[in-house]
Amino acid sequence: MRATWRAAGLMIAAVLMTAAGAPAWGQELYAYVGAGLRPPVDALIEAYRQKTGVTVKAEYGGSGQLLTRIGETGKGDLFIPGSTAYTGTLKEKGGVREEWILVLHGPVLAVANGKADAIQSFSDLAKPGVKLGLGDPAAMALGRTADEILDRSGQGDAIRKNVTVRAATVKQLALYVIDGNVDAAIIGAAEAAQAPGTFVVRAIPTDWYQAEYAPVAVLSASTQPDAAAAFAAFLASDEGLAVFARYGFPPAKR
Amino acid sequence: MRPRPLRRRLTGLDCLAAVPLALILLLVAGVLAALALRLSWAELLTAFRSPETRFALWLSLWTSAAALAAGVALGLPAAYLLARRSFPGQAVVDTLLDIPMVMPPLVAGLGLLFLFGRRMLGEPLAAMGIDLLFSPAGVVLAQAFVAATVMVRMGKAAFAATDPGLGDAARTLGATPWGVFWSVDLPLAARGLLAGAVLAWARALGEFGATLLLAGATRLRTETLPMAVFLNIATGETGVAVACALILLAVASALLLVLRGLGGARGGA
Repeated sequence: MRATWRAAGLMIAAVLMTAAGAPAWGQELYAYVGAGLRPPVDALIEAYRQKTGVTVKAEYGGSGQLLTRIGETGKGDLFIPGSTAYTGTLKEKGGVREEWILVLHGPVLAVANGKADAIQSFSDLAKPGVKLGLGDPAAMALGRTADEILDRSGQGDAIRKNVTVRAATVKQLALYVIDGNVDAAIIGAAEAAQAPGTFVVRAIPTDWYQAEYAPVAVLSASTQPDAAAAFAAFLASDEGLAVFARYGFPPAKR
Repeated sequence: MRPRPLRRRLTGLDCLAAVPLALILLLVAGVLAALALRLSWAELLTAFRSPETRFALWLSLWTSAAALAAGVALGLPAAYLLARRSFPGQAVVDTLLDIPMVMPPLVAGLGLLFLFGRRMLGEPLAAMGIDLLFSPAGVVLAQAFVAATVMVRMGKAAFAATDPGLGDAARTLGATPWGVFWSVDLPLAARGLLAGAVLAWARALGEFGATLLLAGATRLRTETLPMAVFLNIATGETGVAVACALILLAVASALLLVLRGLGGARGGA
């Protein structure tokens, strides 16, 4: 009988040890990053690691989803969403310690290669039968912008009838337009810079939307705010902004 | 009538096994309690009254039922064949059928999107007037992909557990292959098949990753309950998300209980 209890004790100990094996916070920085910003941020994280030895772990997702994750976990050091709207919401709850505005996160109309003749300008989106993909307005930064653009285009009702799908991240939308599963989608200007030739780009009149800027915020929850601020400053430095520009994100006007 | 099992004293082994059981139960109960504690009555009412939630519930119910029907229609005959006959290359077929079970749903969704997208089957299907992408039909397809493989796997085990000798005996008494299937093998395997169908349906109901890529996250169009949970988390409406999740769990538990009752009444155990 004693052997049985000893075995039971070992079993419980094993379960508890597994539970305690959670990732160690504090050895590295943890950042929540909007999915659309992944290519430049990945490159910058690697550059920063080589420069300083500091590792930044990044969690990529739709900005809205990340905002919820920050609220739930109460952990992490940095938040780099696709729009200042998300850091704004977090600020109201006292979740932001410091914020830098980084780059312009501008929308373009991406048209599938086979549909370039049919869709010459934004107003062609109102034609019957056009398949348009947009982001969910609450889930991702450019989804909000897209709704604003439709409202101001004067043809919002006709164009909304052509919306065949809503996506949760800008990368999901790009996937649809590159394969021609939608005829057109409102996505980030940077997508075009990162994958030239995979679709045709049509400009959207700039007075149809409020320009969105992608910021970096140091979270109030951060246990290592100085290290986090140093990384944020690196992103906002000329060197950092040059990397963003290389991936199609122009620096915000200072 | 079955003999009743002997009433015995709990052995050391029973006590030992009770500890992990208690841990698992505690974890499940803890997860449910944690979800429920986040929810206020106001949020639950809001979720119930919102047309979006009702749409999502209804869409989830009918798409998962359709996916189950497709899964059973395809999976049951396939399972019967696999359990009763052996043919060259069966190991390869078995392995292929296992792949969807270990595939992350997002990968399944990506593959389905590529297969049924414009570049492959999308164009010819569109010519026939069938558009599977970004529609409730796409939701059914994503769910049926999972449901069919679960049904094959579970159905094969159910048929394999029945004695083929009984069917052979029926054959010698003049039964046709159809007759053997309907009145011997199918009733004998009924409980296992029901369990398989329940699991297939449950997987279809909870399917999210493949649906997201194949059908999109369009509110009030391809918004199943799992999609509603995801969208509300993305919006920061955690309360509504939890309410949707609990509605999904409540409906699923109710149906599982009913099915378990049915299975118990029929099987007599």
